[in-house]
Amino acid sequence: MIKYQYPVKKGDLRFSGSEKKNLAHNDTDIDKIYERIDYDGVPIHMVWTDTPCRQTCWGDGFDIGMTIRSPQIEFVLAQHPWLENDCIYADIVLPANTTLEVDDVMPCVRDGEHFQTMLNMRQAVKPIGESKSDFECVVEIAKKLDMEKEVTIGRTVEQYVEGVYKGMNFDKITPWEEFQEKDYMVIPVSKNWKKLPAGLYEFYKDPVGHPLPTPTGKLEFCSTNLSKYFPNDEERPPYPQWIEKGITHDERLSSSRARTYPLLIITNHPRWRVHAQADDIPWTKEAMTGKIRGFDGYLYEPCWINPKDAEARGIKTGDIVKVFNERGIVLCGALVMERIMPGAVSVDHGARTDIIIPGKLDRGGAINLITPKGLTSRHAGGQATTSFLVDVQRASMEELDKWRREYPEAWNREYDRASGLKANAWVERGK
Amino acid sequence: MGKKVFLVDTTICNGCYSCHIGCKDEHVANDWTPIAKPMPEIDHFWFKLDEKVRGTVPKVKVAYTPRFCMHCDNPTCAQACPTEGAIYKRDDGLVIIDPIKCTGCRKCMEACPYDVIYFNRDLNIAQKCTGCAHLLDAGWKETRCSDNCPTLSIRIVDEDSEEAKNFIAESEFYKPEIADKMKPRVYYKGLPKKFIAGTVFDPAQDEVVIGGCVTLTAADGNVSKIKTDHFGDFWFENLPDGKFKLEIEADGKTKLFDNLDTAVADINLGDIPLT
Repeated sequence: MIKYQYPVKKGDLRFSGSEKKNLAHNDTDIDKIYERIDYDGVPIHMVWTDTPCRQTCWGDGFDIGMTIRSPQIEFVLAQHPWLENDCIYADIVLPANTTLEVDDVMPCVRDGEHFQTMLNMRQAVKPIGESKSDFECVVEIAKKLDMEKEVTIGRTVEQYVEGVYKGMNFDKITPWEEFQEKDYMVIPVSKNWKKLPAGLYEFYKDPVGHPLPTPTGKLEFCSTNLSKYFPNDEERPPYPQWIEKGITHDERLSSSRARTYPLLIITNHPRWRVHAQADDIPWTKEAMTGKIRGFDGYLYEPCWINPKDAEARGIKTGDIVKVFNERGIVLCGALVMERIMPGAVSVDHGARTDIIIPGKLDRGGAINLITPKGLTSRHAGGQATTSFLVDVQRASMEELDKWRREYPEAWNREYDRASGLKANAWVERGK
Repeated sequence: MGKKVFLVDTTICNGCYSCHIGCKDEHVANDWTPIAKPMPEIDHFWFKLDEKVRGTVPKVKVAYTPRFCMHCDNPTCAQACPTEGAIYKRDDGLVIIDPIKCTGCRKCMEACPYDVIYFNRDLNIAQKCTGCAHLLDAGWKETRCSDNCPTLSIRIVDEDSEEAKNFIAESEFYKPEIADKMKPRVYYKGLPKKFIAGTVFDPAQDEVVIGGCVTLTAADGNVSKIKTDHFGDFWFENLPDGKFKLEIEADGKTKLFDNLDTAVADINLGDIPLT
């Protein structure tokens, strides 16, 4: 059995192809696999990333930002329709198309079984400027590496789209040619749908005759497979239970860390954005819980704080506050109110980064810059970033003035009073 | 053209801000002269959604109150305006600031007791909700805010319609003390009042007290009684501003709160030990 350390090192969760295969067959002692894992990982020389948004949406964003700037990573390539998020760390940004600029198909198969459709998304506008589709970007690079054939397999984009359509067996319902004419297809419901039993009804009537696809054939409150293959995983036990602390996480008020960082923060999915998207809409920023305009005119991400905690810290609504732990400082605008309980604070995730000091200080309110790095457990790659320990303090005039003086370029980035930070802040020529 | 009234039922408003967005979408960067010139991108709230947080943890309520021009039948803004015809009342009851005639003197802003007129620095004119008169003139039955409202919390209807009559019979005015003078055409239901709430528990048993009798006596002698629920909670809602006396009684034990004052804020008495 391997002794695991906190935080978990990079490369903990890598498996080779044969190991994956074994896992799928459920007949391998999992700890034997872990013994073979190289804990130091493999050095990365290059990163090729597509619409990167790791700092605002994943764990420990400051660390990701510093990691990608490591001199060990010699080259970073990004594809993105806009210069945003982590694109500023790329050596080259390839201008990629939006979905409006390409021919594609879009299945609506996620909205339940009752109504499944496929839409033909024809190109709505010609590609803007020199932008290319993601496929074209990849093929252009493949050409330079003399690997075009390996990438395209001699197929055109149209053939790929047709291949996806037929690969999903949709042509058996609506032939490809007919689909091209109609631009949509609807999967019809079963002819005898009225006679089909509802949901788990058959299992309910006869659990033995109609078992579920679980190892026991029953509804498992305690997972047979988790008990069998991960008997020692204290953080992801076979049945759900409260985990106060574990090897990957130490983020509760019972922790000794809470002496330094006494507030428990929750970082909900945002009400006024979709993750990091739509953070630049002027009208939603004007809602009470949208943004807080600081005395300096900057629109800060709101930090909800209870009047009791605020009073103890001399914080009033509208103050610029530091939300921080050992992973860094994120500046927010205080929103003092009773909609949050004492001892807890709340900052929605996904505000655009406006990093003043790399690895240390952000002004945009991107709270995921200081979320924990640890995964749900050493065996499960789930993020556990929604709540963790911080402290909140008023940013003093001396501090703000010091940052403004020491990092004038970052502090005075091009800014729109209505929509906020502008991409032009990172553009040197051709504004 | 029938006279229009706005009916605003805050009890079914969920605070989605679709009204706010719809208003901006209609008026920002769109020129509806002679009804209105474009609204600036930010800082103008011709349709404003007030959010008021009431009470204290854990007894907290959020009240959403849509606020826009009341289209008063006695518009003090028009009376204060020194320019002939710059603020006028239409036959359908809507009050319009003429964006051509307005000189930007801001006298209407001072005269409006509802604080719903905004100043456009770039155009040097006063601006406010037009009741989407340009849309009504084009045959629309709805304003953008009412059209956008998913819960039908905001309605614009003819004054003599059944819906209006029924609603108005049970409605109230925003700032009721000046309603007689202003004669606003916006009728509300469910404007936030005050509440007195708390949780009663028995410290000896470490349990909440269920079915405890709570009596609230207003300064005018008006008495209301309720029993604590299965969480030991009691809520007296829709109370006016004023002084109250509250008595709790259960199993022969009593507790008295004298001199509660709702004038300042809603009152959460917290966890109350009954000994």
